[in-house]
Amino acid sequence: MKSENTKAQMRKGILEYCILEILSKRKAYAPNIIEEMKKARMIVVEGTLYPLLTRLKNAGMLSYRWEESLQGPPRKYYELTPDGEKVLAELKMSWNELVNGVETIRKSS
Amino acid sequence: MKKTLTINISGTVFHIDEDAYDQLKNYLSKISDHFRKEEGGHEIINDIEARISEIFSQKTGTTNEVVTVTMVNEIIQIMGLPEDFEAFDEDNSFEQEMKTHNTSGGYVRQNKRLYRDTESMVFGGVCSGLSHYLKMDKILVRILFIILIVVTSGAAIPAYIILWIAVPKARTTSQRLEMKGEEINVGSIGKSVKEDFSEMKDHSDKYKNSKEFTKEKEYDRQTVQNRHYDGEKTVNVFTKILGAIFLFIGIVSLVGLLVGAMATTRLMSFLPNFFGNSTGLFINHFYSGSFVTTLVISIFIIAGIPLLLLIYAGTKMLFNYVANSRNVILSALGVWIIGIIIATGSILGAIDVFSAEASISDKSIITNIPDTLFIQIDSLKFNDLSETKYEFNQLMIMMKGDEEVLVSRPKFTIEPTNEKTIALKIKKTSRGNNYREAKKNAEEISFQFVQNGSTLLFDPFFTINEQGKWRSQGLKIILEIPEGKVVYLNNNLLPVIHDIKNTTNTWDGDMIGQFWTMKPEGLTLSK
Repeated sequence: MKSENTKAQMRKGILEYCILEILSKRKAYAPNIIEEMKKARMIVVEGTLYPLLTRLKNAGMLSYRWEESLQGPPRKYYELTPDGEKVLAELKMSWNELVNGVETIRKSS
Repeated sequence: MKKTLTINISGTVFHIDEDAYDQLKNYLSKISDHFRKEEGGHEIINDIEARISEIFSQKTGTTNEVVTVTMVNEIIQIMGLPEDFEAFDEDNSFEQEMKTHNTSGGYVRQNKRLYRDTESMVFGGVCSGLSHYLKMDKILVRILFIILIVVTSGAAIPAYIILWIAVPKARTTSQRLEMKGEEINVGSIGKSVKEDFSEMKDHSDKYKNSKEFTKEKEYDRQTVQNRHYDGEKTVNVFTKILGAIFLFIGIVSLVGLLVGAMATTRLMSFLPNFFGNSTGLFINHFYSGSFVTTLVISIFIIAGIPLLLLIYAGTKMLFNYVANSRNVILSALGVWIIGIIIATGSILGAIDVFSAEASISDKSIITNIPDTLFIQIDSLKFNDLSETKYEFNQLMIMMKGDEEVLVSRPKFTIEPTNEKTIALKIKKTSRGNNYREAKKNAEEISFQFVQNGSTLLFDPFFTINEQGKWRSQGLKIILEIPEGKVVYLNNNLLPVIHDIKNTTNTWDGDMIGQFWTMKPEGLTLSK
């Protein structure tokens, strides 16, 4: 049970970074993002994503535009704001630092 | 055939099966409960609804197919339950925010829920689930439960079965987390209720204080939030108290019902033991065993189902678990109605066995009586019967060794006749389902008399068939006496003598021990 907690914590911390990464390549609406996240086994259920998107948007890192869809209601397409791009650059750096840090620890004997 | 509703999700219209609708509604209200308190929660809920609407549109296609339970289940699988994202969310920034910003000291307490722990179960995992809920040792809970069963003479067993049926098992990780409630540090229900109370008090105090400083909008928002909080807490506390009361009343009444049922059967079968030893139930002499069993069971169902529902409601309020109340209530109602139908049917059947009446008569000529006929009861007959165990209407249940014997007194009367000879008429009557049945019951009555010189000896009782049931059987002895003959009524005729007409209007009880002559005007006392 404890290990599952830790795993969830680890994943949770980088979810926002992953979303920013995905959106830095192209604008997307929620199911696109979910698809990529699922592929990467970052999340399992879509419900997890929506609060994150809203939070990032409210923090000014994302903006969205409504686009008509052929099926169903119009879709919210998200893209990065300049602020978001700045944060992404920061997160990218700290992620690299983390990965390097962990690697260093694992390799040192 | 299914009922279909029309709903509008995020601006698109769908047709949806009723059961699917219930499930979807339930799911969406869970979602909105989860996000309601969060900043921008409304937007999140809208996003989720928009996505659900989109998925439905894809699934139902252009043919406007109806949304089914399967589709709703798929949606739930895709979107996930609040519990599933809670596992990600725990200690997240939002809750931190709530903790730091909410100066009133309130914190969002994650609901601890009752689940059955199927990983360490003996029967259904109810006790181990309860042990997580109450933060007690499993073994201790089991021992307490066994004690409870003994103390309540078994009434706690239905409570266990209800919990087994109604409480879901902890399947997913988040459910197991919820079951163990690691996020909350609540020792027991009592403690949690106490906490709820003190929080309520805190909140109302804060509310009063803050009212004086309520200039900033921030505060306004907060007090509204607090009041909302208070409302929830009050409901929570009262629900738990009410739940405990329901559970208590339910179990106590069920114990009462069981004890009552046992006491009644005991009363019927054992009470006569004070007078003599017996084996069967009193009612068995009226109705067959299967009838009695059916009636007892159906009465038990009629009285017991509401109590079981009360226990169910009590546990649900007390322990906060997810269950499909509608199904539980509907099936209980079904069983209850069946109980009523069976009871009504058997009671009607019970009345029906007395509906028809039949009688048969048998006449014997008594000869070789010179002048005076002596009449008496054959006191040697039936003298192996011990005293009467019951007397009911005209029915008497007496003991022959260890066996119960059903007997009744015949009725003896004297009538004048124009014939030259004395005649003895035996008239047997009985009731039954129908005429044939009634006649058969009458034929099964056995009664004997003998003539010994100028003395007529009657059996003191008539009996019915050993397996026979009491159908208000009766037997009349009519002695037809021609003019000029004299009869002597022995003293021991007292219990059977019945309404003999005579010229002096003497009461039956005073006619015994006397000689009576049949004269043209009627029976006359001889000097």
